[in-house]
Amino acid sequence: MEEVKKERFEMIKNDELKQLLLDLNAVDKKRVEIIDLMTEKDKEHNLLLVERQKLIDKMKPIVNVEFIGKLGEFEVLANLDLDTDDAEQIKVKIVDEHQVWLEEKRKSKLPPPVENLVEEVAPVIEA
Amino acid sequence: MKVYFLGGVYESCFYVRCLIPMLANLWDGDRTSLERKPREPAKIVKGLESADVIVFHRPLDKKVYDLAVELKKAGKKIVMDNDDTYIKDCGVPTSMLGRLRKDLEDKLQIFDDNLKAFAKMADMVTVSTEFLAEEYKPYCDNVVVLPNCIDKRDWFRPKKNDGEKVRIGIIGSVASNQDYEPIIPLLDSLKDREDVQLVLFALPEKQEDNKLVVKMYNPEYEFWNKYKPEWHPFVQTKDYTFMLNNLKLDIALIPRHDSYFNRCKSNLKFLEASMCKIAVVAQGFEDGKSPYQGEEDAKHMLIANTVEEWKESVEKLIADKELRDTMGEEAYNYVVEKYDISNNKDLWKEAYKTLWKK
Repeated sequence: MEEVKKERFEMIKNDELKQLLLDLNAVDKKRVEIIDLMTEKDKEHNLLLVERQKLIDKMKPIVNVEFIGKLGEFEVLANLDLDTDDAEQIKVKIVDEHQVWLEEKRKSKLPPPVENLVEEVAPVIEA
Repeated sequence: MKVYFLGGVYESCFYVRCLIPMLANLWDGDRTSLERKPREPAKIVKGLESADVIVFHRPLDKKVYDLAVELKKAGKKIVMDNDDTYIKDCGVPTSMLGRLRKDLEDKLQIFDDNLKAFAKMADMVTVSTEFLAEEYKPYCDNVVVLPNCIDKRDWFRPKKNDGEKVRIGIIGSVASNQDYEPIIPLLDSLKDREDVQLVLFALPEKQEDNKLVVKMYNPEYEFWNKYKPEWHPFVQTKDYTFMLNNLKLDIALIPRHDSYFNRCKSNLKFLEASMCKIAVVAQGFEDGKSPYQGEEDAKHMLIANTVEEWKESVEKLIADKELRDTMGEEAYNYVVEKYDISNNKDLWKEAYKTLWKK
């Protein structure tokens, strides 16, 4: 019994099709290059993220020592910043978590904001 | 190749054995920073599912073994990593627990049995030293030594002692488990000297909520009290490098009694002291095979085999500030060059790649 082939090839000649195929191959080649570059850049970025985390982790004990006995009962160190790269002093943001909580609580008890109220009553006034 | 690390209960060992190579190779694990808590279980499961290789650090528990068996069935390559031994009567420091728990020897046997069973099942066992590798070779035909490394990014600018006294440190485990025995005569000779400050960075702080632990260490508290050192209790792993550097030590002593357990140990204490540019005097064993007698390592510290050598070496360093500074500086450069993970991270990659060749 003759074997049935799963696939076969035929050669054709068509210049327009050939050019489109060449263009497609060129685009695919560029895609591969860019994907390689992106993968490399993504890796570089991830390394920077690790580096960033390590720097933050290292800053914690140093700043904690600076503020031993200097924080209020509910105060926490929130952020460090330099106003400019050549600034001599570091700006340390300190947040009073108790005050933040009180503020949130106070906000939740306030009546709805005025603009919402105006929207609600506006149609009635116009009528 | 995706690698996922699962830690056990030993945070400081996990840091050295897993976290350092994991972050350097941009792999993932159940913890990605000492500052943060382990990931939530759902995320860990997701990480395990997507991994090709799963590294279990010191899997002592039978449940962890069962998990690994299931993951292996799912096509994952299983690696067991360990950096200590649990063989009975070999000097395991946890034997100190025997002061509180009479069943400790049984517990140690269970741990050892579990580790050996895990090694038999694993596709690879990775260990910290050649000596420890021998212990696992009968159980696994694929044992690889991956050295303990440091990550220089985790270390601070070394601080120098600006005081009048020479600061001599005893750090961590060497302050217990009779490891200090080889230096008792040295300590006796130093305790009343005006030009020396002994600094003990070891043992837990005595607090209300850790009475049992304190009780366990009572013999050590009593021993060290005699020498009236400047005492700094244990800190969490995340604060260790900061604390060690802040002690501004001139000399670090690494005594060890000669036991199977201590022969399994690595040179890690030397690496850590060197990252703070501290001159090191470390224990030598008669046959030249203590963890600190590596051919190259030993050139960057003083090795003391006997009571007399301990005294001579420490005396030499106390008397010579320039020698201390030079030793500290050279050891720092040597350790960064040879042991920083940036120069060694491919060892892990190359080892795990072979998992598909077996």
